[in-house]
Amino acid sequence: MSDSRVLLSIENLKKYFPLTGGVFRKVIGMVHAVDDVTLDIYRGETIGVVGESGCGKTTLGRTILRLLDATAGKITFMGRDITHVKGSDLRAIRREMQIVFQDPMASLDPRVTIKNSVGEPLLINGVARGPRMRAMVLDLLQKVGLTEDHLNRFPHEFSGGQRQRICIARTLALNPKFVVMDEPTSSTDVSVQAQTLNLMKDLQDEFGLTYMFISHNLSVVKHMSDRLAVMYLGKIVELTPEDIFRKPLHPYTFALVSAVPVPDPRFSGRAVILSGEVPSPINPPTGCRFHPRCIFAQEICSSEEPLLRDMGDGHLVACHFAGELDFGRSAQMEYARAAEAEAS
Amino acid sequence: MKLRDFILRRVLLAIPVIFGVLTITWFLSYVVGDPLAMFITERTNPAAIPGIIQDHGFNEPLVIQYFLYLRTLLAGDWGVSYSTGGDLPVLTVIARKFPATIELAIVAMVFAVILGVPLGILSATRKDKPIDHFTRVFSLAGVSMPIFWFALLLKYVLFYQFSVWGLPYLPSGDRVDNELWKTVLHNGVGYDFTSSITGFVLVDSLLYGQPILFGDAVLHLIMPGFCLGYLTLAIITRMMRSSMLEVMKEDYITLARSKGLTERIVIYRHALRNALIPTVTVIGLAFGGLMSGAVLTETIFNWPGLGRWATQAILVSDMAAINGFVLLVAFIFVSANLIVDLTYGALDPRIRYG
Amino acid sequence: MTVRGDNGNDQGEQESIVVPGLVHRVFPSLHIVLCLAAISLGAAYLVGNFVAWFANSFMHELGFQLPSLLIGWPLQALLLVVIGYMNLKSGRAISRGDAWAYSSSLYMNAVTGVILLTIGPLGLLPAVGVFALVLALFAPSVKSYWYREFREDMGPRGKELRFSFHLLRRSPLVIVGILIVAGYISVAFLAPWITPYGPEERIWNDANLAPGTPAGEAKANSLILFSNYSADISIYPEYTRGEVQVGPEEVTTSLPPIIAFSGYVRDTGNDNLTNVLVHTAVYKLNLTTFDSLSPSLRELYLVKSVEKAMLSRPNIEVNNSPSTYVWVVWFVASNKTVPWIVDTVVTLDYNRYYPIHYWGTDNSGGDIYSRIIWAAQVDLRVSLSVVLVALASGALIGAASGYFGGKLDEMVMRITDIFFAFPGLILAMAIVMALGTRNLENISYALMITWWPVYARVVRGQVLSEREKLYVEAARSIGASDSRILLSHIIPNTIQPLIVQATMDTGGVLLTAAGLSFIGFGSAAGTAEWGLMISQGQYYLLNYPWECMFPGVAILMIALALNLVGDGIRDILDPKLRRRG
Repeated sequence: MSDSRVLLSIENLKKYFPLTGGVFRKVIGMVHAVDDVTLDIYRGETIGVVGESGCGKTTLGRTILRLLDATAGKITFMGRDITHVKGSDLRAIRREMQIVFQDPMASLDPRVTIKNSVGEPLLINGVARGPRMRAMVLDLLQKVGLTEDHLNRFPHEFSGGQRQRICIARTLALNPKFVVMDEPTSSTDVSVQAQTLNLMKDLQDEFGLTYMFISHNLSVVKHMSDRLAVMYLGKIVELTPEDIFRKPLHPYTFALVSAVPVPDPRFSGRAVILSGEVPSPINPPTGCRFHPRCIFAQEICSSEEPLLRDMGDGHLVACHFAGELDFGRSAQMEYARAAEAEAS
Repeated sequence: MKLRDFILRRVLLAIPVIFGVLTITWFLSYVVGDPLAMFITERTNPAAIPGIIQDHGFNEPLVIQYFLYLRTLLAGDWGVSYSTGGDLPVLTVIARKFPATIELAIVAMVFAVILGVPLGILSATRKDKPIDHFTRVFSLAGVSMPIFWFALLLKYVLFYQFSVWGLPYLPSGDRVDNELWKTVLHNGVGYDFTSSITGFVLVDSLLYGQPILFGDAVLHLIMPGFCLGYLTLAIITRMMRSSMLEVMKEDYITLARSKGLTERIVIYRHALRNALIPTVTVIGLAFGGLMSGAVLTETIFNWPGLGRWATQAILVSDMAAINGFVLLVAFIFVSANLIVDLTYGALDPRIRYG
Repeated sequence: MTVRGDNGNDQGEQESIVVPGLVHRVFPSLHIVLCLAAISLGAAYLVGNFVAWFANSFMHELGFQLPSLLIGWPLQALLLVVIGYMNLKSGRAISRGDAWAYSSSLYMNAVTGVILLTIGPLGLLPAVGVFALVLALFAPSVKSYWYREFREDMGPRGKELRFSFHLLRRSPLVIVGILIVAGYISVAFLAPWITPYGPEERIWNDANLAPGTPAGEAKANSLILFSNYSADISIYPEYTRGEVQVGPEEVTTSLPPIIAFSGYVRDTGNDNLTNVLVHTAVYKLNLTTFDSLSPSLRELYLVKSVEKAMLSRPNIEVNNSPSTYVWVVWFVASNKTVPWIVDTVVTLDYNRYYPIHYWGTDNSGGDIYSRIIWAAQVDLRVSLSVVLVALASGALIGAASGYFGGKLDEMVMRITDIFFAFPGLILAMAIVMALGTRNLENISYALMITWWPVYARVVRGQVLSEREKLYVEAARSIGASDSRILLSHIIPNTIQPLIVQATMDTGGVLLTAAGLSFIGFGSAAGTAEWGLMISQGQYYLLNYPWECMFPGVAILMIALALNLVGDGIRDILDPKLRRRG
């Protein structure tokens, strides 16, 4: 908290969605989208968040930005508790924290020209209007590699990569401190993806931004991030500043890592296929949430929930046996056997 | 959600609607209009009026009147209709005239479905061909057609002009040719509520075992039935066409084609089944249209059903008849929609999760 | 707030042109005054209408009368209030310097002016003010300062519009539909000039004529030459006289013009027509010559003289070539002791012709062609006002219900459920019945009540789906307020399906209104209204089929055209189709 390097800190953040059903549409359950997440984000860093679809990483990003209201927990931004701010205070805070959405087409109003879309934050927050707004918008667009010709066009006249850059320009309009990138490259093809990622890095240097980079693509996250958080079923299972490909400590991270093809002869392992379905976030497993699919699971895993432990150099892992597990060839064989057993 | 829950929920949702319908009719007839008009006629003994006021509580506060209204309705006292000749209770009139309207509506619906569905399919499978253009214009004309005018047009051509030209022509109105029925049945009254068995003339003629009467009844039904059904026919055709076109774009149709199935099987086995589902909902909604249309069609074809009764009631300001008619139509409409909803839910499992 | 980017700032300074001080000081305040005037006028009209309706319905026995000035078109009053409010907001935006507000308030001012002009005599003054404002202050400022911004903002919109037209050109049926609708609207406006007969004019001798028959009675343009109403005059031997020049423009048709006199005399004593002889004469010469001639010489120039007792309308046919005539009227009373009231009108009926009843006449001698055209005014007004009011109220309720959700949404949806439980025509029937009086106004009110749930549903559905869109979340994440999100993101994106729905419904409402009219809910017999015309013609169907065929074709065509246009607009606005083009 008192650490001045910390830009944003989350304590025990929870976000549950009610699930209704029955004749009278009563609440019959809760989807545990984000369950007890604690995280500090430092100024100027990029924190990557990876996990399977539905693990709650997008919900985490949106809850931090207060686009969703947290069920429980505390969000502190620049030393100020923003968990429950409302109205104009909330709007003031939103200038400092921005988000780039996954689908750039859907996040631009189809009936508004690019000039007005990008200029909207300036207009709303009273920064500039009229010719001055136009000039600022043009400046922003040029920074992301677009030209004056693009000012008065509609979103549907652009390619996917261009749209994403427009979204980034809009995000930067208010000179925010913290930007959540919610799978910004998943809807573009690989060549454009690299271009966009490099642009983001350049902009980060130029504006001194702090990024939270959410993706399911491990290589992209690794390319972008200083630290990396792995989420599974609403929880962070591993948080590491190190190269996760070299030293995964959680069995789930290991499974993720092994599934990424790495152009390195030293990694000769084959991809680990996890057996079983992802458990339902409505009734998450007791104890360690990963235990039904983990080959290393012991008795304690199903009864006691592992907490994040520091394994040195700020490498946090939530596993009872962190550091004691051998992810060698035998583990890969074990996973393969489990997968085959399930398949048959 | 389970199917049982779904059905239960839909049925429960219909209850407030029924209450709303009752409230609106109450509001219109008790608050905006004069409720006393529903229970007295010219022939009512003036001395009895204070008693009627007392019985129905017209001097009570409005809230109490509302509950009295509900109680009266539930007790089966829907007022007295004087536009039918004698002062008959509204429910009796409804019971006598209801079969005629339902019979007409069913025939109209049959016309609409047996013509509309194939036309829609034809139009969709031969998109932008002459048959498609014809169907589109035909159905567009159907939704833009003033039904009362269409009825007059049909009558003029199929009855009058055909008879002028010496062609076989259709009867200009009425449910049956009463003279024919009198001769065949030897009963002196022809066909009315005293000589009817089920109230449905098609069924009755068969029950009497007289094919000639059945033929007569069919002849009388053609023009009003088609006229009433045209709007529904147009709606079903358009719906069928658009949902068919939608379905034909789906991947599973492409897959079925790529499997090498013949076009006929692709269309009738795979596409049609899915395209029919949205059409089913339209049928429920169309029932309301049929009831509206019946008011106009029955008037023109002199059809002794609820619609003509309502128009006659309007002309002489027979409040009880109007109120009863409006209530009845709303009930029919609500139940038709409920049935369609349930059918839809049963046909398409996705709906239940909505 | 720190503004980043010095570069941007500099550019901004360079491009900002000094705003004329007058514009910024005078315009917003004048604008606001006029907006307030428009809003209050609209509100007054609305209240006036409501009170009038209320008084008519519930307080009849009190004999309550409202100044007729306040009873205008409720639709225009509603529009005035809504547009006035929006205009007020854009006026405030102008004083803050928003570019968009200039263009939007230009349009809104123009529309306000037009509405003010049509709303009634009270609107004239503010209308003049609004137009003066637009011309004097607004147009130059747009040109000098905002033109560039305006053009830039409108450029892409213009491009989209052109693309829409391009798509439109490819669908001939839609063009046909638009042409028909435009034709109906212009015909409705032009009715007084393109119809030989008025909406309720009857020529009893011409009843049940087949299409194409010439009229049995001549029509003429009338020019009132003299009109005098005088009490207590001494009649005998005084006379009134005057001169009329029948010029070439009055004798353009082959039928000679007629000078018609109508004299009406009664004594004030018992207010009865008394035994009075009305003498009329026409001489073919000018007034100075007439005055200089002796009575016997005048006889030489006499065209015709007529004597009739008490009341007269003698017609004197004058020559078919342009000439000057003198007409003389005098009265001879048998009893000169009482004071008289004399009412004299002398008219010149010229350009007389026997109009052809193109579409025949009805059973009471009304010209069907004229009546159908006049009826276009009535029917289009009913359906348009119903759709607009239902649209406005339904959209408002639906938008609120969709956006705020929760209990409000649940309640609104249950209420619309109830309205949907009645077929439209039948609910409208019950409402008109309950309202008591059968006329087109009550049909309109009934249909408005019947139709709003349709729009509430459409708008709610749209708002719900738009609310979940990512761009709304994006707007929220940059700090946009609820009202901004609703007004500038959600509503513009829900308008398109509304336009389609409204276009098609205009046809549907027209059919329903005509149907209600047909079963006897419409205005008094004789009113020119399509449904009523069919209703009256149905009794003559077999012998005189044109009496109900032509009005039916009129309804069918407009309903068809509106459906075509609705279909076409839907296709044109379809994003899938647009993307491809």
